[in-house]
Amino acid sequence: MPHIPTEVLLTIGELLDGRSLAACLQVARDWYDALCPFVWTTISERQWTNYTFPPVSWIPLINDNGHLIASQEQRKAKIDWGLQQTRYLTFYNNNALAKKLPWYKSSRLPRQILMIQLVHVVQRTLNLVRFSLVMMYHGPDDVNLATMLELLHQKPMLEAVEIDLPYRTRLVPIKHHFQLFARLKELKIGGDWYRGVKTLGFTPDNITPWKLKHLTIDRLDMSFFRFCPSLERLTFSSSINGYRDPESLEVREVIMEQLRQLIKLVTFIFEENYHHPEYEYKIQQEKTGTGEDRWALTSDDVVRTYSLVQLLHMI
Amino acid sequence: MTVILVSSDNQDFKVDKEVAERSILIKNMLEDVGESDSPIPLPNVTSAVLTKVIEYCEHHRNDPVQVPEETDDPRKRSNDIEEWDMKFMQVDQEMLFEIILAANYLDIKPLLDVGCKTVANIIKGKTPEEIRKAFNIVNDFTPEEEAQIKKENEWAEDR
Repeated sequence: MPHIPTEVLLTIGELLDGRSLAACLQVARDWYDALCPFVWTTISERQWTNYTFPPVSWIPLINDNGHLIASQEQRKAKIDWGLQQTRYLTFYNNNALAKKLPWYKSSRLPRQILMIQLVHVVQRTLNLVRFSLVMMYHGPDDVNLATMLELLHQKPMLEAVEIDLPYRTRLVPIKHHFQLFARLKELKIGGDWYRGVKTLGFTPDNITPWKLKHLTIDRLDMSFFRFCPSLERLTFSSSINGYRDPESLEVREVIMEQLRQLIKLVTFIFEENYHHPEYEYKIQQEKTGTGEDRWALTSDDVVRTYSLVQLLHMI
Repeated sequence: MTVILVSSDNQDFKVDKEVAERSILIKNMLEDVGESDSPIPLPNVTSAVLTKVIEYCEHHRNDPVQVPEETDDPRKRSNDIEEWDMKFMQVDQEMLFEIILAANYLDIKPLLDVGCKTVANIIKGKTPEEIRKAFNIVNDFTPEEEAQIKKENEWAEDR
C-alpha cells in the first residue's frame, strides 16, 4: 500500500460520520496523525447537542436520525469517562487549519468550538500526555487562552507540548511557563505570542534546567535550547503564525557558543518549510571529543556556506 | 491539438489537449511552456494508472469546470456517485488508491473526489481491523498505543 498523503486522508475523512472517523483513527499511525487535528474542527451541528459543550470532539451525542442517544446524566457520564481516557489533545483553530492545508477552503470548515469550551475540555482531561494548540487570528479571548496555558501546569502526566500562537497582548510573559517546559520531554514552540522577551539578554540565574530531549523552535534568537542541557534533537520549523524580524545578527556569536554547549545534541533538523534567508548561517561539521559528528554554526569564512535547504538534504 | 504524456515506465500516451487539461497540473505546465510539442513526463504515474486516468478524462472532457458549493455539507453527498463513475471505480483496492494518488498529483479534483467518496463508502460501518484488511494497511501502533486509542474511541462501538 503506498503512503497516503494527508490531504487525501482528510478528503476521505470529511466524508465520514463520527463513528467511521473513530474507526479510522485506530487504523494506523499516519491515519491517526492526519485525522486528529481535523477531527476537532469537524464538529457539525447535526451531531452535537447545543446545551453541552463538545467534549472530546468525536463523541456524538445525537445519532444519525437526530435523536438523543442518552439521557443528560448518561451523556455527562460518558463525556467525563471519555475525557479521562484522553491522553492526546490537538486543537487547530480554523484559520490555522486553513493555513496548514492551503488547498482546504476555510469557508468549508464547520463552526469551531469556543476557547471557553476548550478550556472546559482541558480541565477534565486529567491524564493528558500530549497537547497541541495551534491558532491563527484568534478572537479577543486572551483571558481564556491564558487560563488554558495555566491549566497545563496542573497536568502531571504531560510530556509533550506544542504551542503556536500569534502575538497576544494580555498573556503572561513566557517566563512564567518555564517551570512547565522544564519538566517536559518534548516542546514545540512557535509564533509571536512571546514577543518582547529577550532571552538572550536575561541571565538564567533561577532557571531550572529543562529536561527536554526534543525541542522545535521557529527562531534562533530566542535560543531556548541553552536551558536544555540534555537536548538530543533540535529542529527549526516555520510557525503557522510567523514572527517579527529577528534581533540583530550581532547575537550570532552568542548563539553559536550556546549551540556548542549542547553536548548531547545528535540531530539538528531544518524542516523544509524553514527558509528564512536571515538564518542562512554558515554550517560546518565538527568532530567532537567523543568522535560523534555534530553540526555547528560558525562565522569562519573558510567554511563552506550551505543554504538551509541544502543542509536539510545533507543531514 | 494533442499532447504526449509519458508514464513512469516510459510509455507514450497521445491525448487531446482538451482531455489532458482536465489535469490542472498539466494545464499549468502547458501554459508555462507555451506552444510546444515536447512530451510531458509524469514520473509518479504508471502506464496502468495513466490509462485509467485518461479514460476518466476522456469521458468527462465536456464537463463544466467544477465550482465547489460553499454551503454543501460533504457528509450528505458521500453516496452520490454517478453511475459511470461508480463502474469506473470498480477496481481492486490497490488500483483505487493509485488512481486517487494520481488524481491528487495531477490535480484532477473531480476524480479525486470520486475516489475519496468510493473509499469513504468502503470505510463506513467497518471496524479498524476491517479497514486495514480492506486497504492492506499495516497496523504500526504499539500494543499499548492501540489499547489506548481503542479506549478513547470505545464510545463508537455501542450506541
